Amino acid sequence: MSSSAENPTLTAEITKPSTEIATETAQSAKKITLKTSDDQIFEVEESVAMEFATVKSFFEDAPSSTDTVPLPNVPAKPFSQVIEFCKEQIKFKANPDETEKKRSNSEFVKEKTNEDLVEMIPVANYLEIKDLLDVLNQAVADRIQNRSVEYVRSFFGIDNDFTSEEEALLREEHAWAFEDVDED
Amino acid sequence: MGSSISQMRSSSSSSSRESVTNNRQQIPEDVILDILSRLPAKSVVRFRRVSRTWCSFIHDPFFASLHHARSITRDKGNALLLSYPDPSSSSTSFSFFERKQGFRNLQISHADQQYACLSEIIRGILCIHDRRSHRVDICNITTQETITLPRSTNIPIRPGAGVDFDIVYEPRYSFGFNSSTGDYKVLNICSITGYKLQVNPINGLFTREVSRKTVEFEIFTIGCDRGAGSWRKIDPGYPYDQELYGLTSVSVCADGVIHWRHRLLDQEILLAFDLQQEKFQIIQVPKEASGFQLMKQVKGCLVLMGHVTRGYNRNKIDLWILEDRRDQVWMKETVLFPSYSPCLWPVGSFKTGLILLAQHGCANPAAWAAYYCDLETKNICMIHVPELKSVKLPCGEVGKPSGVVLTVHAENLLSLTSNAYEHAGKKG
Repeated sequence: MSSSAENPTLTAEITKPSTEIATETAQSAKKITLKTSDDQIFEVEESVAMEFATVKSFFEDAPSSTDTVPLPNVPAKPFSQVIEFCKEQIKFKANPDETEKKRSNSEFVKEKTNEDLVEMIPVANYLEIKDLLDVLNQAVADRIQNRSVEYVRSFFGIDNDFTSEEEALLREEHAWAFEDVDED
Repeated sequence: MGSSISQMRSSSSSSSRESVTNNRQQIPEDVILDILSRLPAKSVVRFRRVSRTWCSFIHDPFFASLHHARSITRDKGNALLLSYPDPSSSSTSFSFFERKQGFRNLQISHADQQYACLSEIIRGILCIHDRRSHRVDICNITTQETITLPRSTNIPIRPGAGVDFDIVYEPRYSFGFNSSTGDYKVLNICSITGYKLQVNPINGLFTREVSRKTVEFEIFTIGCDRGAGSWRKIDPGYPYDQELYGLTSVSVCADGVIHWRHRLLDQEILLAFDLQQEKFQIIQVPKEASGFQLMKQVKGCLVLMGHVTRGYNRNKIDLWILEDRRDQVWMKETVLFPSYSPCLWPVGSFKTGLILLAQHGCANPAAWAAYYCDLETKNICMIHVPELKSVKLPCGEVGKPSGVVLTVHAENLLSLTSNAYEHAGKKG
């Protein structure tokens, strides 16, 4: 992967010349400006922004608002990936094809690292994008299913707060659950 | 204007009030629960060890029902559970086989085959009553957790026996699930008969005479005060005059109501116990359905099944579905199966609307074949359960399987004991 592929949406959205925005507006593609927690500005097509239930209800309350919408809980990096997903989703809205949608969704999560997934989940949850949250949660479940307790802790960045005696007891209680676990 | 979106969010969403703390990001509690509910029970049980927070999430009865609901849709009838008294083991143990987990064999200890009464398996949980010791166990097949219920208050540890009297206790434990509250309940219908011993003055022999006969009712709720509960006496409006005669010990729970078959001299009826109201009701069995072979729960409805034995066409199974309990409305359905299936008996049912039929013969009970029958399409298809061939099933009279239950299984993580989180070492 090239270095520009790391954050394609972000750069593309920000560096768009204003003339292009104007022409797209003429084609009734209204843009919405969103500001992430790390002060990055995103200009997103209205149809994409309406995929974010949180943003949608914001505009339902204030339909004529032209203000920049602040997203205090959303960092830029996972947000650009979320936009990438929503852009794909819109295609299937116009042209529903369940098999193709499934394939596209699995392709989307396949390319993502564990860290990407863990970062995107709170964003999808905050923006209330049900389809994305469903895809992400299933992807995480698939990745941790046969893994060890230690793997899952590092996956989510959780500290072990059990004493070694407590851990031994939990393991002993359900020894069958600790058989045939994939190596980390 | 700028701050209103976060205000709106915080007022509209109460579900994400608490968050899991970790180094990178905040993943809300309800999202973690959603991820965990997508995992097989084995993984979930293992991940109790991740942290105290996760351990308490997993122990939550709400999570157990969420996970169970997901298991039903995920497995779509692929997980079968076969339970039978193992003839190769002399004293104890019933064996459970889960198809999905390569037929994991689960031995239930302490259950003396000869005296053990197994209840219907409801959402992966069953009640086992030892008729000799009056011990009652609740067993979760998924987690292999077993608890022993406190002794019934109706049955004293030392039976009332004296020089000139004798008391006989006949408890019947029935297991049910109240779908509206999510509680599992055990109902004990206990018949208590007092006998008076008298010496016949002519030949000097003892004779027994019934001096007292009562039926007592008590209930134990597992869902709410798990583990630490107790039996509670109830007055459920039993419709008979202190009589249990003719009431089958086998019960079937459907839609929050426990049903028993009751054969009277001239007719057949169902006795029904509403787990919410805790009251009895009598349900009339349609005349042509009397003599039915099997009573099961299908898609939340009570279904009576009967093999058509009269006439030329014997490849038919009649179903009577209790559509409306209050008005006692039954609907009849007939299922035809391939003519080359000479001997099919309904042996079980699936909550998803499938009925399980088994083909078997007297000579070789191990040569079973299981069939699915879809109630809506009436399609019959054979399920390949190769493991069935290697299982030595007990053979009852006329080749009818005895004590064999084949049912669909969905994992249930419900913890039967009090707080497992404390149990895991907080105290010690």
